[in-house]
Amino acid sequence: MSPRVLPEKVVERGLLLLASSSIGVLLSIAFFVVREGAPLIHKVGLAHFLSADWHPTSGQFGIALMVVGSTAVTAGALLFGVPLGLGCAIVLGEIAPPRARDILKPLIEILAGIPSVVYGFVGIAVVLPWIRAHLGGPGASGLAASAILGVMILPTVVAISLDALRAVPYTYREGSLAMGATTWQTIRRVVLPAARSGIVAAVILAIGRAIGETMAVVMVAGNAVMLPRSPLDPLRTLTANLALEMGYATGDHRAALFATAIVLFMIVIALNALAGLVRRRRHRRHQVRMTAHGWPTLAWLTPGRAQALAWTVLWSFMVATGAILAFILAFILGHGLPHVTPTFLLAAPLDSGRAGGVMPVVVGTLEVTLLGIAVAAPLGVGTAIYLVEYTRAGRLTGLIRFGADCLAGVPSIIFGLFGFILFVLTLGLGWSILAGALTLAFMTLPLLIRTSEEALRAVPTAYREVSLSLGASKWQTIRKVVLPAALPGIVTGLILGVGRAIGETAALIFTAGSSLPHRAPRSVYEGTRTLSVHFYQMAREGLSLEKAYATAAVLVLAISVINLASTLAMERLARRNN
Amino acid sequence: MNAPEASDPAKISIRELEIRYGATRAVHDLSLDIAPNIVTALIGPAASGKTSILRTINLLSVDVDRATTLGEIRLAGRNVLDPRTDRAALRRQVGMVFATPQPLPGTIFDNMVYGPRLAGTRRRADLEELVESSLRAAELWDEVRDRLHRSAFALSGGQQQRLCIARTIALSPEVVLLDEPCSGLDPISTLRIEEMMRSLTSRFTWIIVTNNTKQAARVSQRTAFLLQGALVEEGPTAHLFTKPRDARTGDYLEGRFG
Repeated sequence: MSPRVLPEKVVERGLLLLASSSIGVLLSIAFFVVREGAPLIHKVGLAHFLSADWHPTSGQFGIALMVVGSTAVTAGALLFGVPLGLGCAIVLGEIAPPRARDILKPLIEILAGIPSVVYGFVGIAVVLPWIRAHLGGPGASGLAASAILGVMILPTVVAISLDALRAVPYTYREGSLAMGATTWQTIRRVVLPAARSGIVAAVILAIGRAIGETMAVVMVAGNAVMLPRSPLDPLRTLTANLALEMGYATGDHRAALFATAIVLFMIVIALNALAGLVRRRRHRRHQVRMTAHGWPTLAWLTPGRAQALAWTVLWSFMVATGAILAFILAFILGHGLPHVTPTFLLAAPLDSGRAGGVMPVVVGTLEVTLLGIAVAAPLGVGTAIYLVEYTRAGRLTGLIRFGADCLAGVPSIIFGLFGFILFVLTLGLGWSILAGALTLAFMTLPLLIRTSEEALRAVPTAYREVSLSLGASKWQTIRKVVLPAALPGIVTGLILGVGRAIGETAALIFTAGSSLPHRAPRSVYEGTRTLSVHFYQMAREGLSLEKAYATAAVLVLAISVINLASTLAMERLARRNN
Repeated sequence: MNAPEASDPAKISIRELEIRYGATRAVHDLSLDIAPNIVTALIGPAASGKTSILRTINLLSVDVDRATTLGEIRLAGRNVLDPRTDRAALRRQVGMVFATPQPLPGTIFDNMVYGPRLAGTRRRADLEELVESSLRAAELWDEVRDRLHRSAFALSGGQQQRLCIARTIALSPEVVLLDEPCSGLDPISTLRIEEMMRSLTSRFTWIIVTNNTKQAARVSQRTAFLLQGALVEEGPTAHLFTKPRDARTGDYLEGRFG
């Protein structure tokens, strides 16, 4: 008997406990949101709650206009984001030569990493004035929100569509080409139909992302509670309503906001479940069918010309996406970097941020972020170990994965409300670094599960078999062989989580607080403003454009570098393991 | 069938062909004539370049595997390797059947009419006639006539492979390339495909890549033996198998390497 070995059963139970954390978090979010909101729906009645009158001061809590607002903005975002995203996915997956793909793919990752407050700010500074000048109206409108959201959902559409395209067997493409189809005919008749369920799932998840987005929409949609009669009218979404009124709402008003969150939560869970169902269908290939109709009938549209036309359109989508990214980066960095001086980074803010620097904010951000990741890491890695090493595909794994997927889809504003109720109020932590960090931990958990899972799956099975055959127990094998081999991938995932956390605003504004610190925080029980929240306040209050740009530049630069470095590292690891 | 005379004009003339994948050279200095309307077998051990040659004749290696080429492959007076070659037209002229059956997602009928529709055949009656005649030629008609509109994946492996041959035939190609077409099939399915090839031999110019030398002996009239990307020898199958000119050919056929 080897000494001091944890009994296998204990290890397995422990890991199962960690693995159930995502379901646990999901259930507790549901519990708290329902506990706070459901009594109000019961009190005023469902008909009242779904009416069009929202006058919280006179006890009117109808959310219909906000439902219309969210629906309109989401539909608009799909109009922009889906064609653009699908076009990019086709270029990246099917057309671009490998070298071009290696350059273009990280662009999408950077786009995905830009914080929503920065998108909102670019909207305020560029899109709104443009709409006012060229299309009329107040500028802040459904159209502006749709355009900004369209760009924001694009990375989701690209990533999931690309997965779907990659899952199409290469044999379909060869078979089609060998029968005299052009590459475009092959894509249109065979590859896209075969990838259809994955592409549909991408659109569904993009809908969830658009409905849940908060900060960017608050900044550009105008937020008037009214029925928008044209795309140029301002409107208010469900999420914007939460962000705008949560700060001061009390009593029934606050309960009504939580009731709104119940609606959002249910929509997002339903969308995720739907996406999961649709995606699972992909595996039943017998049901997939290539398109047999719609053969080109125009005489001048020869297969060669059709392909040239398609290439032009698809590449122009890709170029447009690249141009949008380049513009955002150039705009923020161009305006901001000149003001990023050593003093700005090292001094405390003066006069509500109008002068001085951001040092305490940076320190607070790092504390919230690192503490959050430190809490999430054991949960995420433990879940991944359990999923990869201890279970076969079955009901339990399905449930855990569904929990993680749903959690990934829950809007950050709902995490914010949940963290506010649980950590700030119920556990009495107040607005504090700790409350913010715990909220962030739950938010980044799905990402950490996914990246750790990928890292563990990339470890060759042979390593495990060799270790076991040399007399190691399962847990010894995991600890001494599997985890070390997967460590680079797991660490990369953690870094990616840091990048995601730094850009977060909506979840932190109600948990870590929003008052501006004048010195670096001395304990985790103090509140802090994070960089994103600071930037949001600066941009909204319009105190100092110069300082706002500088803050945005620091934010964008930090996140882009973190994202780019970790994705590149991840791809290199994946390539090495193959 | 007799070995054709050397005076027959070649259907495909390969001259000084070199195929590269990045820094790796898969085929070099290869010259070979493929005679019309017979079966030519390409044999050789792994990495001998036989599949590369096959996939270069219809340019799949260039378009899919990003191979680069030097030299010439002449087919009906034109150099296939000319970058301006019309891919779609070439691949209708030169059909291909892959190692594993590769039905496209869809019904048997969908699979059969995919190529002809792209080539411009639209009338339903024409398509139906083509489907029947091609499936008959591939000796599959009787097995699938009642389920043309069911998924092609529901067929057995051997049936799927005959479907793939049938859908190739439906394009009336001049050349049919077979890349180890029986490698995943049981002996009975293999036998059926070989029988079908024998009955159709004179209709097309066949090139078959096979790892099974006995199959080469059974179905081909001429055989080329390749080693490490170069041609060792080529000749009438009966000659090559009984009196190889090169000692390495004999060694390979007797299983001493490869």
